[in-house]
Amino acid sequence: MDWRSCCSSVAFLRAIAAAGSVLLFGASLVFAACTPKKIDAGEWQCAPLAIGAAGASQYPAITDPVSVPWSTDFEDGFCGYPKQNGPGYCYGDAPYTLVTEPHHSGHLAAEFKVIGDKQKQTRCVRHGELPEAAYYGAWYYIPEALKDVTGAWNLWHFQGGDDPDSQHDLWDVTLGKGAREGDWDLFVLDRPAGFVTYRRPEGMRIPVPIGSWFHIELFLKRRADATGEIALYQGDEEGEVELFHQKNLKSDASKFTQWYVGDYAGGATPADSHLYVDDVSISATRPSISATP
Amino acid sequence: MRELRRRAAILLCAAAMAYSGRARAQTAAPLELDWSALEGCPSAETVLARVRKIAGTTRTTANTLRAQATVTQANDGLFRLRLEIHYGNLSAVRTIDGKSCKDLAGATAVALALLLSSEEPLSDRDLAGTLATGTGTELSTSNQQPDTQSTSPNQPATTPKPATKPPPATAPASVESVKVRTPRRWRVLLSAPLGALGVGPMKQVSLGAGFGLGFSFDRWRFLVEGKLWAAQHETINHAGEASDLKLNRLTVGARGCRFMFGSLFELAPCALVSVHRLSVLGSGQAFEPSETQTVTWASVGIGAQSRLWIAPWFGLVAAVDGEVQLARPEVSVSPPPESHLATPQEVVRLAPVAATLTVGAEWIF
Repeated sequence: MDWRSCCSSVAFLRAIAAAGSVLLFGASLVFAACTPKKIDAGEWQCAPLAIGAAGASQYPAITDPVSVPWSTDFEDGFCGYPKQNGPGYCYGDAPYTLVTEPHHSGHLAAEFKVIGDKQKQTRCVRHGELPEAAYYGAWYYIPEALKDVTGAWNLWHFQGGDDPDSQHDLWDVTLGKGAREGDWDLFVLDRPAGFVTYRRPEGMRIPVPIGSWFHIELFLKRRADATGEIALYQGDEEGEVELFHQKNLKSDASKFTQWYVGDYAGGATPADSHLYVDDVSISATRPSISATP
Repeated sequence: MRELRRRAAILLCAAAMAYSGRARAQTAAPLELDWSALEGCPSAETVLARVRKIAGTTRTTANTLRAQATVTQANDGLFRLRLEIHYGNLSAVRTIDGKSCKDLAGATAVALALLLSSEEPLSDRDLAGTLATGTGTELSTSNQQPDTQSTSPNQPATTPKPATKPPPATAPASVESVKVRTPRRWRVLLSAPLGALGVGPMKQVSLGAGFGLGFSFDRWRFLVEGKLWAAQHETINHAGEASDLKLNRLTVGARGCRFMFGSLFELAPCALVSVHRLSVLGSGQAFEPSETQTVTWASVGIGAQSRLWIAPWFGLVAAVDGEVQLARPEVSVSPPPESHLATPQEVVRLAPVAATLTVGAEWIF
């Protein structure tokens, strides 16, 4: 190796070192610039909140009137059901979780699982002094129909009493098995009226869709006398159908009432199942989904 | 006669040899120049070099010729030299206008060289003497003695008269021995007030105010700057309730620049390093704020700074900077446990780069 090749090698190595240093410096800047530093500014609170006696914000009491309209779309998680001794809560034998798919509105929906083996319910409860007359609504998505149930495949449940500690069962919105395999349609079990079931006659039943969102809406007029009223609607994005409308019913006007929304499947086949719920609401007037006769 | 001259010369040389060291020790150097000029003007060394070139070898004198030269620039763009000359009890002030600072430096050198070359004792008239205007540089002069009115600017130039008396000191001296008082090469700089407009790293455009403190050395300048940015707000909505996040940012940075171009209007590339501090405070009826949270990070960048001289002690500065952030702080809020939401919500994530425009005043001490 003569001196020329030696010097050119040294120059080459120097150039490599210089270029490497520049690249290393640049990479360090880029790496540092991408390094996150987090600040947690605080914690947002589930609403609605009321001002307590001490002046601090707190949830309404369990027996407070439910102001309508009320709704939850699960975009704030389960904030619609923040506390058992407050406006409501969720519970389950299996986890109740939030999912991004499928969802009906926004970005999130609630998933309720039933995993069998005597663990048959996962639900959310909204309670308090419910309106005497109101429309109760929720969107459901059932990815796969159950084959059968030995108990009941219940979606909604109402119970009430004079106070939270003395309640009795009132109304259920449940899925009944249809004539065809995989068909399930909605009916109402009215206990105050004497354990009466309201369901469309066979041949006129409308099965709930499997694998797409559908809307359940229940009009409930609660009366202490026999002037109660119940109407059930089923719909989708296209519109809504009135399944039945019963009037002058012996009813119940318990001051404290609980509305359960979720999944209850007793003795289900298959034992493990799940469904999704979104956009739960209570309103004094009927939501603006066009009704078809 | 020739012999007498030869002997006198020998005696003078002997006397000079005998007293030269004492003379140097007793008398000050013949010229002290205090040269204060704008940046971009010739330096004091340049002026003195020219004095040496013109005057050549001079004689030592009983008194030191002291000159204080100040070059300024007027609004009309003309440069003005104020040359204050002191010699013993004598003093005079000359004012010379010129189109360039270089011309004025030359005029100063010529004036001082002529005074140094004078072989007769200097008079008030010599000190206040006018300068020739035939240099083609369009110099105009006015001269005055302290406590007297200025004479006509068109007064004809005078040159030092030939010696009629022997100089007070007999030992020859060179201009090389002049004692020079050069102007300070450094200046203290105060930039205040400063206004700033920032794009990034914050989500919104930032407005800020601040100040800077530092020094210049020749054409270098080093400043430490502080900026306080106007608070920014972010609104978050949950469960029908709006909450507010207030973001306060403070920046402290150091800047090193070197003026490369211009004299009246200067332009300098800069290197910067900054430290930012962001504090976040949340509020709202449905919000439980943490204690004030802060995050600190650094950034580096480059920029350009310009300065417009208004007066020797005052200028206007403007800077455009670009910086790379060495971290990207992220501001988030946590969900309440009852929501069963797992991940915090990101409210703001700062950008990796930022550009800042800064304008303000600079005070030079």
